[in-house]
Amino acid sequence: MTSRLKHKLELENVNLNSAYLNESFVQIGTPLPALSEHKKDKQEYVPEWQQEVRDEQGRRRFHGAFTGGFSAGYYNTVGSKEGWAPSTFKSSRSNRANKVQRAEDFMDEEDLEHMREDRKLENTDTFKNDGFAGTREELGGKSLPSAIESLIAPSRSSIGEKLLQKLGWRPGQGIGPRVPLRKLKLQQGKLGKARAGIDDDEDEQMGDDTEGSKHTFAPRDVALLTFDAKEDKQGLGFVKGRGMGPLPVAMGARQLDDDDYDPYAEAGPSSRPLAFDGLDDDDEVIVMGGSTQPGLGSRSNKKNRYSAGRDLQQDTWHDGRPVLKGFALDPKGVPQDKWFALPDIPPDWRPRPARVWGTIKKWDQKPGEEEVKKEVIRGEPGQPLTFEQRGAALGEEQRTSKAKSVFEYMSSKDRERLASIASTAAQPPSQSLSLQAPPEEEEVMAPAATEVDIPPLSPRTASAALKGFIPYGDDLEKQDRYKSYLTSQTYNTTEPNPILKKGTFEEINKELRDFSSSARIFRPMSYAMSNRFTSGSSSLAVSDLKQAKPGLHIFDAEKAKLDLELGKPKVAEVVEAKKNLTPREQAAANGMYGKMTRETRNWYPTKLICRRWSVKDPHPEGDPNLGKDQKNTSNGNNALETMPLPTNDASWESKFIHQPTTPTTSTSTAATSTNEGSGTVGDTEVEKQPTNISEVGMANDINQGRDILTYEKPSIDIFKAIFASEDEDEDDEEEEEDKGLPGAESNQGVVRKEESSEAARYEDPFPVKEEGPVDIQTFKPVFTLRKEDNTDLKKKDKEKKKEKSKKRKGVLSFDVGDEGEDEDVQREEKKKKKKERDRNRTDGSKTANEGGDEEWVEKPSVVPRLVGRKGAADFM
Amino acid sequence: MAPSRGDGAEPVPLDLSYPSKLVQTLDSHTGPVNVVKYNHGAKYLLSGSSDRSIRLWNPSLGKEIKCYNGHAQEVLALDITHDNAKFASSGGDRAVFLWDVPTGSVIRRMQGHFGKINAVGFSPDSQILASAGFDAKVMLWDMRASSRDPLQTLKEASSTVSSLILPSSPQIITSSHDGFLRTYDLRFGLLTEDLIGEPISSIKLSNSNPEESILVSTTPTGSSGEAKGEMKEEDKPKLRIFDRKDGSCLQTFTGHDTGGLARWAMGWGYGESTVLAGDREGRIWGWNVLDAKSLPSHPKQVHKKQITCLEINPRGKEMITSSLDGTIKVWHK
Repeated sequence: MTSRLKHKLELENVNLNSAYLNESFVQIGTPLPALSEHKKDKQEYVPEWQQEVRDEQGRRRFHGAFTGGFSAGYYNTVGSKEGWAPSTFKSSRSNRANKVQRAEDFMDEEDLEHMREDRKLENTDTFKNDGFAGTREELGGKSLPSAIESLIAPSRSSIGEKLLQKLGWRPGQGIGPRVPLRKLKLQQGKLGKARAGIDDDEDEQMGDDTEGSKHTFAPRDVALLTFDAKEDKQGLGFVKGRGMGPLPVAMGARQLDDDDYDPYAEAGPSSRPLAFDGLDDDDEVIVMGGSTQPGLGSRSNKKNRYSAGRDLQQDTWHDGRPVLKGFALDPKGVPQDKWFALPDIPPDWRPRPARVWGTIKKWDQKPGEEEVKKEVIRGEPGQPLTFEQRGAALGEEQRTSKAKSVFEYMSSKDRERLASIASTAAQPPSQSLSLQAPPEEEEVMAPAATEVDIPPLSPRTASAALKGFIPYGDDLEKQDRYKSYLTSQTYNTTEPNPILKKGTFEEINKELRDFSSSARIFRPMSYAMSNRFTSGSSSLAVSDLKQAKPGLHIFDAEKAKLDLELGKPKVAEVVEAKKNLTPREQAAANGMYGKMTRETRNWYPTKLICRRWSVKDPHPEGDPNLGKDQKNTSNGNNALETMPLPTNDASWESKFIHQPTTPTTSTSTAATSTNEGSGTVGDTEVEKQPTNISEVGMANDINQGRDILTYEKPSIDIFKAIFASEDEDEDDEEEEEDKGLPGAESNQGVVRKEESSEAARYEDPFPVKEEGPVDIQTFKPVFTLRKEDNTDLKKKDKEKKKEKSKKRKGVLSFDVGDEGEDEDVQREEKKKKKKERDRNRTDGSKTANEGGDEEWVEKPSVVPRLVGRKGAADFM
Repeated sequence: MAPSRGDGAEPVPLDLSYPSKLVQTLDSHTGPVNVVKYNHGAKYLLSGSSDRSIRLWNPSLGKEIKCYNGHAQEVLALDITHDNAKFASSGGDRAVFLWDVPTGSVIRRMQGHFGKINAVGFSPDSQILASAGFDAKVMLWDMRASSRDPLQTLKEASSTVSSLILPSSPQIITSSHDGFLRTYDLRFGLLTEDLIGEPISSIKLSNSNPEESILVSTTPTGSSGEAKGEMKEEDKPKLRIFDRKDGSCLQTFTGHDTGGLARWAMGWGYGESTVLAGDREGRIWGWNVLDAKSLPSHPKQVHKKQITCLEINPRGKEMITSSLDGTIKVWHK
């Protein structure tokens, strides 16, 4: 960024070191380096193709074909420019080399690194190294073994455990405040752990309550209920390997009935009421063993066991967990779902869902009643209402025609006027020819033509078309009809009714329409151009705009009908939009093949093709578009002289209407010359002419912009004549007087000579042509090219005038070219000579002076003109 | 006899007949036959087909002489050198193949187009081969040196170039779907563009007066939503005879329905008193050149499907038609 800016500034010759260029206004972010800095900005953005990829060691990656070929295989792989450097290996009979290969020899850097890493020893467990335990004082106070142990023994504690220990918790205790004995016991009862040995202790401890009240105990540890994620697809409670037996219905009941139920009373070991049967022996053993334990419903201490035992016996789930206190298991178990058999489907029944869908739309709708559709003003969710729909919903006045035509912006008067014009224009020629057509048919089929409808054509266009190219060369009758149609459309025509084709009205009308569209190509340019513009005031004048009435508009049917009727003739008037065709395309579409559709231009075959065809190269100089500049420089003045005058684009207009007697147009001749082709090979003028009038100024006009491109700056004399200040002129005069001072003959001769040589070089830039009186109407100033005009040279006074202008030219300071410098040199020489002359004069060689005086006498013819300064008008 | 306007009254009754007696049906092709071409001398016939083969026939005997296989796509255009020793073919595979007639081997492949190649043509002495196609380019290949690139590419066309002719005069005539008939004249270095306005499907020079008249067939792009039965005047395919000197239209023939396909057969009848064209039903249409009226008892059903190519023997006794139905029919007078 900076470098580019720097470069740009350097191009503009800005001093990069100037203080005010390097002033920094950056408040936030990294400023760009100062312009005066010479170092390259390292952070500057580098385009992707210049960026380099480097590995972590900073070595360049990707050499290879894209970045330089040779380096491929050297930098990162081989190790030396020469390639692999073979390690020296010497072995001889006397001196055997005992090279031992190691595994490392076959390893690359990564492998070695990997190996190194592998050799590092690491602990498998993290050792106690926690900050909580390890201030120095503590360590110092500790016994050595414990300190060592803390280093050696792996620490398995999590951070949570450590924190808890810091808070006074010890492993094996429960979490919470310390509780008295009684509470502890309650807790134990709750947890169901009472059944083990605690109960026995209880009895003993109950006695020394006093002791118990003295101490508080840590709460019991509670095993967390962990819920394993269920990952299989079996049902809840299913244990793999056990089948799904029938649930024992009387599981709880039996136990309720019989307190003294003894499992031993039963013969079989499998009579234990468990939810699942198929228990294996292990389980059996455990259960049996459990029942021998005092807590598990044995009769050893029945009394206080009743409640507890009851709890235990009755209210355990099948997995051994106790049921919540205050709840009891339902002895009946889970009631089974009721299932009903499917009704018998009649064999000939076929589902026909469509019948159902058709009758009912909503689930709660009865088939008979139809849903009353609500009027929606808001529109569908995704599709907002158009303004028309909304208007209709609100009952607003409807527009009769959707697309507003231009006529709606017109005042009613204008509309009437237009309608009357349209009707008069359409009718008169057809009136006489119209055959009686059944009126009712006309009403029924409006578009079907029932009478000959002659499309109107502007008289100017018609006369232009008559003079232009007449198409339909392949059908003479048609051509005649076309001509008669055109004549019928001209001004003051003698035959207003054209000859018509035989056939149906449609055919006649179609042909006539074709004729008119063909002829429309000849529309004068002013029409073609004026179609593209419109005056801002007339089309949409404020007064013509319909004033919007405020308030709600209510649809009025009668009014709408009226509007419709009014609108009918308008619609007929509106010309349907057509594809934009160039005149050439239009001509082709109308079948007017020939000059209109043909275009010829230069084509440059390559030399070899010409040779293969054994044809001489038609353009031996080659394609001018390729070497245009060279040609111009080589040809120099010749090219300028052969250049034609700029075409006067306004001149065509007169050929159409104002001068009806001259039928030939320059363009038609140009067209014929192009068509002849062979006659005008390489004629550049042909190319420069527009192919036809209608293309002038249009998009496909080949001459478009040519005048601008080939425009040559007028001679400097014109500027001089217009803008030169008085002082300059006066200076000139003085100089001229100086030069013309009565002096030596020789000097005069020199001046003369110079003048004559200059006359050869400079022509009069404004030769006055002897023409008749200038017609102001047609006169147009045209910059002519400088040419020698002998007639002018003959006139002596004109010559002198020229001399003067020429001299002026010599004085011009901003003239370009070598001549100016030459002149300066010459003038200096003159001045030198003048000085010499002066010296001579002072010396007193009178005779020479007298001779000079004689010469000087002749001059006065020039003097008056010098006094009266020349203006631009003098040159005209 | 060049058709010219005005001289309607011809003293000698014109021979408006053309070969119409079916003598042979060549049905070896297994796909639509796209192009048939007489050799110089009009004794043999080459046919290119969508079955990717080119076959050489003796049409009057109805015998297949050789089959040239090598194309990977359909064959759309053929042209034969002046000495009948080689021929060029092109089509869907975007390359022009130059074949040796007796051995049946591909001598050269010219690649450069990037679309179907619709037309190939040799210059009269077969030193230049021109090819043109979908990519709107005409490429001129040097036949004397085997360079990879064409000598020149003509890029004036703005749409598919449908056909090209290299007449005996040093010219290249191309027709394009952009509606232009272009004549590149080498002698004068001039390009003459005639706007026909409708996509041109094929062009045929007059045999007797190649400098003066040319037969141009146009197939307008069927405007959408147009029912087939009710075609507008400007949507119908047309045959026109143009005056090559000034580009004016001398005669227009219309009436047949080509079903919107770009390739349809047309040609001058023998003696150029008639113009023939095939339609999509496989019927053949004939018009009198002078009054542009359809010949009596026309159209005639000759094929089952659209006629793609129509060649008339320069001696006038024989006519070849090829069709999408895969057959080539040989007609005698």
